[in-house]
Formats: sequence, structure tokens, C-alpha cells
Amino acid sequence: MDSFLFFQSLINGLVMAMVIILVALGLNLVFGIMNIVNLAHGELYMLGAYLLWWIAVQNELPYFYGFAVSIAVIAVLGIVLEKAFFKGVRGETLPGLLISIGLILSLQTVALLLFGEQPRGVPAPALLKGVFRISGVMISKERLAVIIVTLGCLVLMYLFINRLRVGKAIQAVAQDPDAAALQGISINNISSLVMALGAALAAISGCLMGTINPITSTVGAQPLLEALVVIVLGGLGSIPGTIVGGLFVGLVKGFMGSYMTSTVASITVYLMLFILLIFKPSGLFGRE
Amino acid sequence: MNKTLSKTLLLIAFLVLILIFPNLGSMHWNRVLIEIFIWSVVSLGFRLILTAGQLSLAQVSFMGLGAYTVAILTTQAHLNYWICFPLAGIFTGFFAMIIGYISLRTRGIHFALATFAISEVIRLIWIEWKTLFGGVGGIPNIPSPNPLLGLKFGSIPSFYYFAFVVLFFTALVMYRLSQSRFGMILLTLEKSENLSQSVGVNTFRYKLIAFIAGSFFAGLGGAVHSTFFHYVGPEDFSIHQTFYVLIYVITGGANSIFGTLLGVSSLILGLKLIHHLPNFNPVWEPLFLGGVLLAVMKFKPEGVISLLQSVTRKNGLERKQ
Amino acid sequence: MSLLELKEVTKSFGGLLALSQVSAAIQMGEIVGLIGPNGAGKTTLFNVISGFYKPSAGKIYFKDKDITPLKPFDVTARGLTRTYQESNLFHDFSVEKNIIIGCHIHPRMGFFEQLLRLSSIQKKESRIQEKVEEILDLLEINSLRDELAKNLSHGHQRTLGVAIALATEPDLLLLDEPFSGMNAEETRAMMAHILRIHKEKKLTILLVEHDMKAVAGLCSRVIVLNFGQKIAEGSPEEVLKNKAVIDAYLGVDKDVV
Repeated sequence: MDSFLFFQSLINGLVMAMVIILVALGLNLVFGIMNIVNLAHGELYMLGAYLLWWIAVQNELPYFYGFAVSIAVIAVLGIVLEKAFFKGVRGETLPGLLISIGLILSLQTVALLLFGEQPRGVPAPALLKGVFRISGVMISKERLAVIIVTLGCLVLMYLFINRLRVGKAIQAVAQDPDAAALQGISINNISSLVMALGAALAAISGCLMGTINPITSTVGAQPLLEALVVIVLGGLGSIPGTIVGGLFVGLVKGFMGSYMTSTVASITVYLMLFILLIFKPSGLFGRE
Repeated sequence: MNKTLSKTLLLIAFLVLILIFPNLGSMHWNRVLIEIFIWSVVSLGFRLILTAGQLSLAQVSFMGLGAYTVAILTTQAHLNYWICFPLAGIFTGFFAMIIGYISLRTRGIHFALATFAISEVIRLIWIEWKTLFGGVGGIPNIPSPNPLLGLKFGSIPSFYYFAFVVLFFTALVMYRLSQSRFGMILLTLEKSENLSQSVGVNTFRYKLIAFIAGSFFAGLGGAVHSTFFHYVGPEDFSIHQTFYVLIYVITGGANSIFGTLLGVSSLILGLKLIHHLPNFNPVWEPLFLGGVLLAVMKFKPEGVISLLQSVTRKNGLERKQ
Repeated sequence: MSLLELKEVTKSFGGLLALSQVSAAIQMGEIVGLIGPNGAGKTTLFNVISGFYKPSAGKIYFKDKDITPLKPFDVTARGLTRTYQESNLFHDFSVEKNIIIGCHIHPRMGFFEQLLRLSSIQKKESRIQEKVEEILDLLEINSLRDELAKNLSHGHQRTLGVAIALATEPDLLLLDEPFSGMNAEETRAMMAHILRIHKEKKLTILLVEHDMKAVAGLCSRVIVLNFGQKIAEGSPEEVLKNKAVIDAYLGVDKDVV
């Protein structure tokens, strides 16, 4: 393989890995740590991207303002969904799945009604226009930004969970909800918080992708599936596992994308998910 | 009048009504009923698998397999439809046997997501393998069924009766199964699988048979679908359609065949009625059904939850401390 | 030949050794007790014998045939049936239906046989009815036949569990704590049931139990487990005087002995 294509694939794979890691991290927090089976997570990603478009393009407000508002609104939406639908079935997987299906259908429709059928795009802000050249390999500044933002989020998430009190409360609830409750931690509040965090992460990756790929109402399905693969691969509840799994899936996609159509790459990812779900013993429930 | 007698008379009256409907109703409503019949077949198959405690999110993909089988065999191999029709079901059942054999070792959400993954793989193959499946454009110009025993097919009433006969046959089989020992055992698989094994039930085999049978009927439904619409395309058999089938069955009540049929008819009728609203936008369909599902989950979850409670507890194998 | 023979059965879960080289033999017609403190491995042993767990090492022979690799439903087909410690029933079905389901192997019905309602079905269904009547009478639960299993009292639920097991026409019955959660009267009734089915159905019985009075009253022989190992074996009187047994129970469950 010629080195240009190799490095290009590597970069593409890395960028894809970053987005997958963000989405998977959000899903892992919500599903893995709080047992909230929200598979409409991809729709939060999609709505985050659309909101950025609506603010930055439709209403011609500054890009970074749109970014921030989108994250905030989606985080709040996450809390609302949690309280309205998931509260009563926390931990129950099949009812959660059904609710997710209802939400997927509804949210995709709402997006179509609000934002139209046309694929939307968000032009990169001036700061991020242009490319870097490293020994003949090009990486656009936007893609570089994706990598930097993702790394930033990972660091923040690590600090949040391990250094802040509320992060420790989340860990406590994850390990033993009853004991945590006895210590005075409000499970409801923690659930809402985790949901908000997960939603925010989804929104961030959606916004990042908004400048790279066209935004449509079904754009959330693929990230969700890939996030599931990552979670099963890397282990539910394990953040290092999510990173490793995300890198693996992203790089596989990156390299496969260079040599075959994206359809075949997608088929491969779905087959990976199928096999993992059936043959990995801990599947979606093992903690590592 | 005793209860069974009156129920049977009611059923007969209802059947008569259905049989003479083509002479009464407009073409439009005939078409609606044909769609209801087709989706009822697929939904009953879904329900059978659900009764065995498994959620098959590949149901409509399997319907598509049946549809594409007919499409390819009639347009490319020019076979008589009446050979293709059973072949569609058999091929789908065979494919389900393979998938089921691999994946029925899991249950609950793992199985559901695994079947979801398979459904997407199937759809993507239809798109990618253009020479056989026609890609995104699908396969058009699928002919009506060939004349059979002097009957000609092609008119709306002919499709109406054909679809109805298929539904009748499906419902009959489902009814027989539900009344039999087989049906009884299926009901034990979700909550009491270990006890079932203890009395000698090969639970894996039962789940597999239910999965194959349910998918077989999905294939038959697809075979009717493709000849009626004279077209198959990958988007007709997407995961959204499986979601719709799931919603029909759950809303109507997966506990009974009648409930499922009620769910399918009332929701499809509801969808068609929405078409008549002012400023109708096609996206209202998923919104309507998504909303119905959320409402059912929010306000009547017990019926749903008890049916779908995933067995993650160990059914008595562990010591009580 | 022994009806059931355990040869150095060992089972570990990850790092935990639940059973360690347990060997024993059960003869036809015996009622044998399996006792030991909590966590000794009794239920694990049941799970291994009945095919729910694969042993890490060792073998299990039933009627001189190796049943170690068999799945639970095949083990039952050979004539070895277990009951459960928790009320494990077909909760939403009536008592009668529960027993009907239990008649799965005897007689067997094929899929197409049922679908096409062949005439052979009639004979099988009447045989099932006969069996159900007999079991209902034998365990004195005839009056409860239409009650839903989940609505029964605890004592009746355990009895139903035994009834379901009887429907499989076993030669060896593994009873997992049949008396747990029962008051004195229910215990007496269950003891009578066990003796009756032992006699009428010519069953061999292996039962796990904590209640020493019941064990002494029923069992001709007792096997004692502790920490996954067999530490004693013999008549109830011998075993209860055995120092190792007393040591095992002391510090755990003093009032059991």
C-alpha cells in the first residue's frame, strides 16, 4: 500500500475513531453506568448537528455560540426524556428498547418537520478553514479540531468522574445503587446528570460532524450502531475499553473505506456487532 | 345462546363481510385492506416469535427476502409465480434457520440487537449487489401471479382474495399452534425456561422452530407484497417497517391472535386516515406510530412489560441466601 | 449397579472452587439426604448432576451411562429429574396445566403431529389426562387443579413443584430443600407426600435439606458436604455424632442440628 494512502487512511480512521469514541462514551455513561437503555442516543447526535445548523447557518449566529447552545439544549432534552420516559424502567432492558424505538421514530420525524428534508451542512468557522500539510499528507483543520476536542472531552470526563465529588457519586451509584442511596445520594438526580452528560457528548460529536458530513434525519443510526460495537468490544462501563474499542473500529473503517465502498465497510461493522453480541459472553452486560 | 356458538356465528358473519367487501367498497379501500392482510401475515409471524420470548428485529428483512425471491425468480428466471410463492417462504425459513441457529443462544436485548444487525446487513447487500438485487432502485415490473386453475390474477379483487386466503391460512396455523402443546410450551420459554428444560423441553429447539415458522410467514407476506406492488426496493423493507410491525403487535396485544389482528388493522387504518388530514406530510406516519408506542409504554406498560420481561434472573439455579 | 454414581465431581467458577472431588453412589430405592452448611455446594451439585452446569472435572453416571455432557432436558429424558429451591413453577398457568406441561416426555408429541392434529394425538392426550388425575390424587391437590400457580400458598407451590417433577416419570428425584419456608404442619404433609411417592412410584430420592428432623425421618443415609467436599457419610445418627460434621455446623448454624 502506498504510503500516501496509508497515512490518509490513518488520519481518516483516527478522525472517525474520535467521533465514535465520543458517542460511545456518552452511551456507555448512560447505558453502562446508569443502566438506562436509551438507544435513541443517535438521535441526540443528529439533533445536536441540526441545532448547530439552525443557529449558525439559518440564523447566521456565530459558530461557537451555536456549538455551545446546541450542547446545552440537547443536554436538557436528555434530562427531559429521562424524566418523562426512562425513569420508571431504569435497568429494564426490553421496555427501554421499546421506548427507544418510539423515541427514534418520533425524534427523526420532529427533525424532518423542523429542519426539512434537504441534507444540511455547516460550513467550518473561519478559524478552522484550511489544511495542515505534514510530509505530503493533508489533514483539514476541522478534522484536527475533531481530534483535539475529543481528547479534551476525554480529559475533562476523566477529571470529572475521578476528581469531582459528584463524579464519585456517579461511580458509587454505578457500583451499588442501594448503598449509594443509603449514603444520601439521590439516584434521580444522578440519573438526570448522567443523561445530560451523555446527551452533551452526543451533541458535541454531532456538531463536530456537522461540518464534515451532510446532516439528515437518519444520520444518527450509524454512530449508534458503531457505539454499540465499541461498547461490547471494550466492555460496558469501561472508559479505557471505550477508547481502545473506538480506535479499533475507527481505524478499521478508515482503512476499509480506502479500498472498498462505504457500504461494504458498514456491512463489516454490522457483522462485527452481530458476532460480538452472540459470542462475547458478557455482551452488553459484562463489567470489566 | 351459548357463548361459543355466538362467537362462531360472529366470526362467520365477519368472514362473509370480508369476502363480499370487494363488491361493496371502493378500489382505494380494497387496496388498504390488501395491505392490512399482508402486514397481518407478517405481524402474526412476529407475534409467534415474540410468544417464544424473543424480539426479532429482522422480521421485515425476512419479509424482504421473500419479496426479492419472487422478484428475482419471476423477472430473471421467468418462473411461474405459484412455484416462487412457496419457494419464497421456504428460502426465508431456511435462512432464518441458519441465523436462528447461531443467534438463539442469546436472548433479550442481545438477540434483538443481533437481529437488527442482520437486518441492516441484508438491506446493505440489496443495495451493494446491484446485478442481482438492483441496488437502490430495486427490481421493477414484477408480474401478477400467473393464472391458476382457471383463475386470472391482476385485478384488485383477485389480489384481495389471494391476500385474504394467505392470511386465513396463516391465522389458522397460528391458531392451531396456540391451542396445541407446542404453543403452551412456547409460553413457558420466557419466564420459566429452566423449569421447562427440567421437564424435558429442548428449549433451544422450540425457540428455533418458532423463529423459523415466524420468519417463514414473513417470507410469504413478502411474496404477496412484491407481486401486488409489482416492485421491490431496499427501503420498503427497512428497520422502520419492522418497528411498525412491532408497534402493531404490541399495541393490539401480543397475547392473542385477535389482538394482533386488531392492532394491525386499526393502526394501518389510522395511518391511512391521517393521509386525509389537511397539509398531510408523509413524516406524520412515523410520528403517529412512535407516539402510539410511547403512549402505550407510558400508560399501559404492565401488559407490555410482563410479556417482554427479559429473563436475566436465574430461575432457581442459585441458592437463596 | 448403583442408580447414580458421582466420580470425583469438581466444579470451579473462576477462582472459586465450589465442588471438590465429590464421589458418592446412590442405590435404587434409597432416600438419601444431602446436608451441609450454607455455601457447602449442595445446590451446585444438583445443578451439575442435572446438567445445568458442566463439571470442571469428574463424571456422573446414571444407570451405568455417562450423563456428564448431557443437557438438562436429556438428563430428564433418562429418568433423572430435579426440583427447585425457590418456587419454580409455570406461574401463569393453572395447577392442572402445570402438570400437563410436566408430561412433556411421556408421552412425546411431534410438531407436525400437533399441527395436523393426527389421530395419534387423541390417545396421547388421554394418557396425559390419566397421569394428571393420578398425580393430583397422589399429592392431594385435586381441589386446587384450577388455581393459578402464582396464587398458591407456599406449601402448595412446593408440592406442585414435586407434582411437575413426578409427571416426568423419573427414576431418581432430586429434591432441593423441599421443606424450606414451611411450618410444622406443611412439613408433616410434605414428608408424608415424599414417603408416599417413594413407595407408590418406586422412586429413588436424593434430597437437600436443612431440617434435621425431616432428614432423620426420611433418609436411610446421609451425605455431608462442606466447602465443596464430602466430609462424612452414613446413617443420620452416625453422621450427627461425627465430629467433623459438628465442627462444620458450629459457628454457622447452631440451631440447625
